[in-house]
Order: sequence, then structure tokens, then C-alpha cells
Amino acid sequence: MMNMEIHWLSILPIIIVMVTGLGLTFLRTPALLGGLSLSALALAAMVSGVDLVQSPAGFKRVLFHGVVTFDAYSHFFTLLLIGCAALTLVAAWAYFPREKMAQSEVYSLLMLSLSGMLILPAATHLIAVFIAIEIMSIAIYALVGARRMDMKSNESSLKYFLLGSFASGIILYGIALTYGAAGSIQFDALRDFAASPDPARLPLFIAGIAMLVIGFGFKVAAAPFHAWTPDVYEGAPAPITGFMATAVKAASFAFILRTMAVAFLPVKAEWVEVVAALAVVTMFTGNILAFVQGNIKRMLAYSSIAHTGYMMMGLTALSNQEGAYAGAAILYYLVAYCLTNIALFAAIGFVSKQGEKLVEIEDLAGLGAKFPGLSLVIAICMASLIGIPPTAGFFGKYFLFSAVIQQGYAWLAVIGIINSILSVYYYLRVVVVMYFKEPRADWSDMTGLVPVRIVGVFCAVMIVWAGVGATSLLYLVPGAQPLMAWAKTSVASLF
Amino acid sequence: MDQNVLSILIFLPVVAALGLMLMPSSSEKGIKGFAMVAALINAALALSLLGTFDPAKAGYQFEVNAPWLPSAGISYHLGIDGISLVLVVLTAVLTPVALLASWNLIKDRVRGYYAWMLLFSAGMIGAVTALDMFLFYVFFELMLIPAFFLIGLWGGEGRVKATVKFVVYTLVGSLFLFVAILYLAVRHQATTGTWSFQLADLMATPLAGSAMVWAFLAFALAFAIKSGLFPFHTWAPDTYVAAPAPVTFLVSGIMGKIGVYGFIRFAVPLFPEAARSAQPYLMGLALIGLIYAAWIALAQTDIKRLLAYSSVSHMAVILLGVFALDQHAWTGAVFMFMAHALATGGLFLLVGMLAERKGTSIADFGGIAKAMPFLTTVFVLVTMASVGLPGLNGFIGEFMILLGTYASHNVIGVVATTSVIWGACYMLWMVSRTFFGEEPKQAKPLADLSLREALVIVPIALVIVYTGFVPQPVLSRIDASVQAVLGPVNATVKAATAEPAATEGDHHAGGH
Repeated sequence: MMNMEIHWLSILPIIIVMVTGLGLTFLRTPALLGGLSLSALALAAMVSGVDLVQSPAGFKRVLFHGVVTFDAYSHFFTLLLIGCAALTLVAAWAYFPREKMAQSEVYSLLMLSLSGMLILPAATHLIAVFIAIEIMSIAIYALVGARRMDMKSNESSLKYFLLGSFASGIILYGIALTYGAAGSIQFDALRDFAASPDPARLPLFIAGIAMLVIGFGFKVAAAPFHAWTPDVYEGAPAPITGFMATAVKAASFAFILRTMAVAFLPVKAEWVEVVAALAVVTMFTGNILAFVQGNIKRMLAYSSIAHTGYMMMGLTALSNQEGAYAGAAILYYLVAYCLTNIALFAAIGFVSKQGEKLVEIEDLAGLGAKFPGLSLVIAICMASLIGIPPTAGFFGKYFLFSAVIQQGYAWLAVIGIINSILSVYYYLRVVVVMYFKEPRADWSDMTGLVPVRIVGVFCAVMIVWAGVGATSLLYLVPGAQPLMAWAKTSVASLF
Repeated sequence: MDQNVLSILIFLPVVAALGLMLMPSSSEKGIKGFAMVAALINAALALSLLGTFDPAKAGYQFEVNAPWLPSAGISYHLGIDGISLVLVVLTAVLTPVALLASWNLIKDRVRGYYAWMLLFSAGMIGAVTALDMFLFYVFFELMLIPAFFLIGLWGGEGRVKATVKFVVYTLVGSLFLFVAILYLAVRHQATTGTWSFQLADLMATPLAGSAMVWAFLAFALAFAIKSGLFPFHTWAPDTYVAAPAPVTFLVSGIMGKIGVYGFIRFAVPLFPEAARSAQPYLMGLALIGLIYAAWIALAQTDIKRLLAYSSVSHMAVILLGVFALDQHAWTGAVFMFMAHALATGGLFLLVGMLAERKGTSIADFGGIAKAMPFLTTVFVLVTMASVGLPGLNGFIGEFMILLGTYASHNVIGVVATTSVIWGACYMLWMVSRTFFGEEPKQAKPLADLSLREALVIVPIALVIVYTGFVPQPVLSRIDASVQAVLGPVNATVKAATAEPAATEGDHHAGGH
């Protein structure tokens, strides 16, 4: 049988993040908190990077009796998630003190939630998935309510907690049913069962998958399980919303992709139409409702629902041979999406002023003249979300749509395009308001622009570079070509 | 040099625009001068192409083909033939003209304006030189961003509404184009096993049946919107009116042509049979647009708006020529690219000059010919070119288009010929009301053209006259390329239509 030998380098990033998260509760100095967290993240990323680079091609480290598997795929997400967390921390550098939040708790919860997220892409056992989801989610529930004096923040925290608990329960149900059918919930065993199922127990299995899809759908805010999203995104502190929109979504897609691609792929015929239908409903729900939002955080919440729909569309194109391409397209899309949303919520956190008072889209009027650099970043993000070349968002859509068309779902791609068209208006509106309207908000007493600017410029450069770049910038940040190549090898390691 | 000339034409303005952003925004003169020098270098470079371009060769020249994202089959492939040559030279040469026309017009945020103008020019040159569909799409979209800011930030009344309409309309079209391009590439991958977006490769894997029709419709929608084909033209008048005159000059003069160019370069050669079956409908739309826009122009009381509709009407003539799928008509249409850009563009600039003095409402003018004889002379000359007076370049293109249309579809040709009459009606009526007749009562007489304004408009007028009398150098560069593009199209269509006849009976006659 499998021995219990532990590959420390693989799990070290998770341990670093978790220990730092626990340790931070004992600290009170804000600068120290931020510095330590960022150092820990850098260290974790470095360890993961070293592990990735020195591992042979196609490596697969199955640890703890198959509960977790570390491969190129899990490393891709480790680096992406750590990147999201690091950018969030920088973006929030001035935001947390401005909002007088309890900093040691916030930093510690953020790191703890990240530690859960880091397990998710590697989890190859449904209980591991469940525990990782809970580690991630419980910390996030608390983070959403971190602006303790704000009613909206409290309300959304409670709302998220209650609905999230229901979702967890449904996932647990799904796990139970799957276990009842397959006799195991380790992914390889599940795949074996799915490949040659016992007809008598197949319905139970499918019911289990259905439960899991509902639970997963909640986590990534897929319609019709999306109802919590706008309220929670609106109520949460802006940088935390950014973290939720990016890291939580990326981590959730990480395990959904692994679950669907590894465990449930042999029964794809049973779920593909459901997922396609969910993708269509999700895209339309997100885009149509985003249309009528006046609050920019709510608009972005619906927009994130829409983007979930695009990525779910990619799930339908998964298959063993071409799956690497469809999966890689989702990974690329996630990177593009994370970059835009972190930058956007960082900017909103800054622009909304103390107490997040200015969060209407109309409040951004005249921003273009007042903060040209920041406005340019927002405009680039909007262009990327619409999918205008040469941004990463455009290439993300390209990879995703071509994967879908390739698998014979051209109609789905057309629906995707119709949705992109719907989205043009509300993204464009932000740019129009910023540049073409007379200012109505007072931005005379603003502080803390520097960290936001660092995040904004980094993301904007990356958004463009991940679009046009065929090589790596400074050997560190890959352009479209190397990023896609990396995503492909990552996804290929799943099969 | 030959290898890089097209890349330089695209990226020199980009680099110059980035350079502008590094300059202090306060040094307006420096900014204008720097942008102007960059644009002039580009213009000179483009004009040098006229010398080095070999008119006898039908294929693409000055080609560069480098991998960009090789695993996705996307390449950086540029090249021009006679058709794109016209547009490249026009863009590069008209950009400094537009910059000069902006000199006193643009007073705030000068740095941004000049940077966007340069980027606009770069995007347009990129679009007409790209031979990779993906690259083309990138440039096709990139044109939109500068236009968006140029109209939205520096436009006149109704600019916000006009920009949003403009961008939403054109994006709708191009997103469908995007799916169709992807579909083509996927089909190519399915048949050959490799990814490619090269135009030549995609043409080698033709689509059939309903897939071809849908793909053609997606292409046609994008290009119809861009070129303002009826009923997709409604963004155009709003945009032309709201944009500052030099931007309108570029948008109507060149950007609209890129929509027509899309039909010529991509939509028709990629889907010849679909194009042939859609021909009656497209020609019908062009014909309706031509007459409808002309009639609306007749009713306008604002010169700028009148010109906007006249431009839509003339674009319809060009589109009619393209949809005729006839050698003469195509050559005439490409020639009209230049003639229309110079005439309509020139008129927009002149109206911009009038607007700086007094506004654009016809009622405000009358009899100003006495006060400003020089401007009046140029205005009348350019108007004559616009209505197609023989001896000026507008005549050549229009005549060839109508001739080609008549030869292939005589009824449509006859109806289309009335466009010349409508054009003459609204333009001459406008000119007579604006420049002649009773002198208006006003405090001080209007100033005639300044030296800067003369520098803007006189070269345009000279080119109009020159190419009107000596069209052959331009025509010869277009003709071989048109033959090379249209020849195979008509051959395919003929083969397709001849097939049923051949299978019915005589195999020998059909199969030679």
C-alpha cells in the first residue's frame, strides 16, 4: 500500500501560510502584521516555485493515502492564490487602518482562509475538499463582517454564513450519496466507478454529483445559486470583496475542475447538459442584472456571476484529449479575471472614501481628470472584462470560446458572445462616467493612494502583458504564450 | 527596410504616443510639434511605398510573417497589395493633415488628444496591413479605443451619447466577427490538425452549407456596421456631428473604409458563394441607403449633419460597387476610398473651419463668398469632387462603380445613377445657400483662410485635381490586386453555379 512518506516541499507553502495565520493573532503592530504576512506569502510562493521548477515533467505526488495530490496543477493555483492574497494585502495596506478594522484578526483570517484555499486545488478526496472549503469559508464569513461598526457588513456576513452553511450541508449530502454509490470518495476510485458503474447504484452516484454541483455552484456564485453574491459583495470591505471575487473563485474553480475532470469525467454525458444550461442561465442572470445596478460593487458582483458563467461554459468542453485545452483556457481566464478584479476592488476601496460612502457608479464622475493613472487602470480593467484586445480578458475569451467551439458547442459560444455584448454597456458606462462626466464627489482629502497605485499598475501591466506578450517579462511574469503553455502543462497533469 | 516598413508605419505612432505621455502636459507647442514630426515621418514613409511598391505584382508585398502565439496559430503577418496600399497611404498622409487641422481647435488636454490621434492612426494602418485574421481583429478593435476617447472627451454637443452608441454598435458587430473567426480557425484545425489564423490558410479550408452562411453573416454584420451600410448606419451621423472636425475627418474618411475593406479582403474571398447568394440583398440595402441618406441630406439645415448623411450616401455607393462583384466596380470602389476620403474628409475640415468662425447652421450663413473668396473657391472645388464632376477624382470612382454595377445588374445600375443627381441637389443647394445669395448682416466680416488652414486644405484640393486628371497611376496599382482577389471569387462562384448544369448532361462541356 501507499506509504506515509511526506514530501515536505509540497505541503510547506500551506504550513507556512497556516502557521503565519495563527501566529499573527498574537501581534498588534499593523506594519509588522502586513510585513510578516507578505514575507510569509513570498516565502510560500518561493517554496512552491522551487518545488515546481525542480520537479520532473508530469510529476504527481500522491500524499496521505491519496487525500491530496500535488502536481503542476496544484502548483499553478498555489502561485495564483498566493498572488491574489499578496495583491489584496497590498491593496488593503491603507484601507484597514482607514476603516479602523481590527487588524491582527483581519490579517490572520485572511491567511487562514488562504491556507484552506491552498489545499483545494490539491485535494483528491471529497472529505479533504470539504474540510478545505470550510477552512476557507469560515474565515471569509468573518472577514465579510470585518467592518464591525457597519450594519451592512454585519448583515452580509450573517447572510453569507447562513447560506454558506446550507451549501456546505448540500455538499456533505452529495459526498454521502457519492460514497454510498461508489464505496469510496477518493478521486481515482470515483473515476474507476464512473468508468464502469454498477447500473443499480448509478442513479445514487448521479444524485451525489447533482448535490455537489449545487454546492459548488453556490461557492462560485453560479445562477440560480447566486442570490447571496450582490449583498455580500456590497457589504464586505472592498479589498475583501476583491479577495472573494478572485481567490475564493479561483480556489473553487480549482477543485471543481479537478473534480469534474478527474473524478466525474467518465460520466460527462450525464452532467454536461446540466452544466451547459447552468452556464447559460448564469451568464444571462449576471449580465442582465449587472445592467441595472447603480452601485459599482453590486455591478461587479453581478459581473462576477457572469464571468462564472463563461468559465462554466469551459467545463462543458472538458475531455481527456482536448481537455487540457479547455481546462487551460479556464485557468488562463481565471488569471485574467483575478488581475482585473483585484485592481478594481483596490481602486474602489480607495475611491469610496472612509466608510465606503462613494460606491455608486455615478460617484466616479470626473475621476479621469482627478486621478488619471488610477482611472486608466480602471479603464484597462473594464476593457479586459469586456474582452477588448489586446487585454488578457480578450485572450481569455478567445481561448475559452475556441475550446468550446472545438468541442462542437458553437451555439454556446454564440450565447457567450451575446452575453459579452450585453456586458459592453455596463462596463463602458464606468469609463464614460469617469472620463466624460463632471465630477460630483469631493476627493480633496484622500490618503493611501500609493499601495493602491502599486497594485493597479502591476495589474494593468500584467493585463496587457498577458495579452500581447509572447515571452516572459523580466523572466517572472509570463505573457499570453508562456502563460497558456504553463496552464496547459498544469491541466495535462490532471489526467 | 522593406521587411520592416509596415511595422514601422504601425509602431512609430505608438512609440510617439507613448513618448508624448512622458512630455510635460504644459508644453503644448512641444507636444503638437512632436506629434506632427512623428506623423510627417510616417507620411513620408508611406509615400515612399508608392515608389517601391511594384504595381505589376498582384500578390502581397513588404510581407512580414513572424510567430506571435505559435501554439494557438496566431502570427504577426503583415503585407499589402494595391488595395491596402491605397488605405495605408491615405491613413499615413491624412494623419498629419488632421493633426494640423486640430492645431487651434483643441485647447484642453492637448497631450492626450495628440496621443490618441497617433494611436488611432496606428490602429487603422494595422487593420489594413494585417494578413492574419486574429491580428486583424486585434487592430480592428484597437481602432475603437482612441475613437472612443477622441469623440467622448473632445467632441461637441451630444458627444457622450454618440460615443456610447458608436462603441456599442461597432462592438456588437465585431464580437460576432470574433466568433466567426474562431469558428474558421477551429474548422481549419479540424481538417488540417494545426491551428492557424492566416488568411491564406483559412481561405484554403472553405466552409460549406449553413456554416458558411452564418459565418458570412457574422462578417458582413461587423463590416456593415463599420462602413455604415443601411440600416446599420445610425451611429454614423451622430458620431460625425459630435466628433471634433479632424476626428470626423479620420472616422468618415478612413475608418469607415476599413469596413468596406473588410468585405473586399475577408468576407467575400472567404465565403464567395455566400457572398454571391447574399448579393441581391446587400445590393438592395446599399441602394436603399444611397437614396435614403441622400434624401435625408436634402432636408438638413446644419452643414455638418448634411455632410454626415452625404457621407453615408457615398459610402453606400462604394458598398454597392463592392457588392456588384465586378472587376470595374471594385477598382472604382477602391479608387473611391481615396476620392471619398479626400472629398468628404476635406469638406468636414472646411466645415470645421466655418464652425470656428460662426457655427454650422446653414441659416447663419449666406453670401459669405465675398468675405472669404479663397475658402469659397476651395469649398466649391471639393464639393464638385464630392458630387462627381468629371475631371475631379470623385467622378472616376463613381463612374467606374456605376459602370460595373450597370454591366452586372443593369436595373440597379440605373437607379443608382440617380445618386449623382441627389448628390448634386443637396450639395449645390447647400453651397448656394451658404456662400452665395444675400449677404448676411453682421458686425464684422468673416476672416478668410489662414496660412495654417490653407496648408491643411490646399494639398487635399491639389490631390483631388491631380488624381482626377491623372487617375492611371492609382488605378493601375489597384487593378492587378482587384483582379487577384476577385478573380478566384468569381471563378468559384461560376464553378458552383455551373456544376448542376454539368451533372445534368454534358460532362465534357462542363469539365474542361
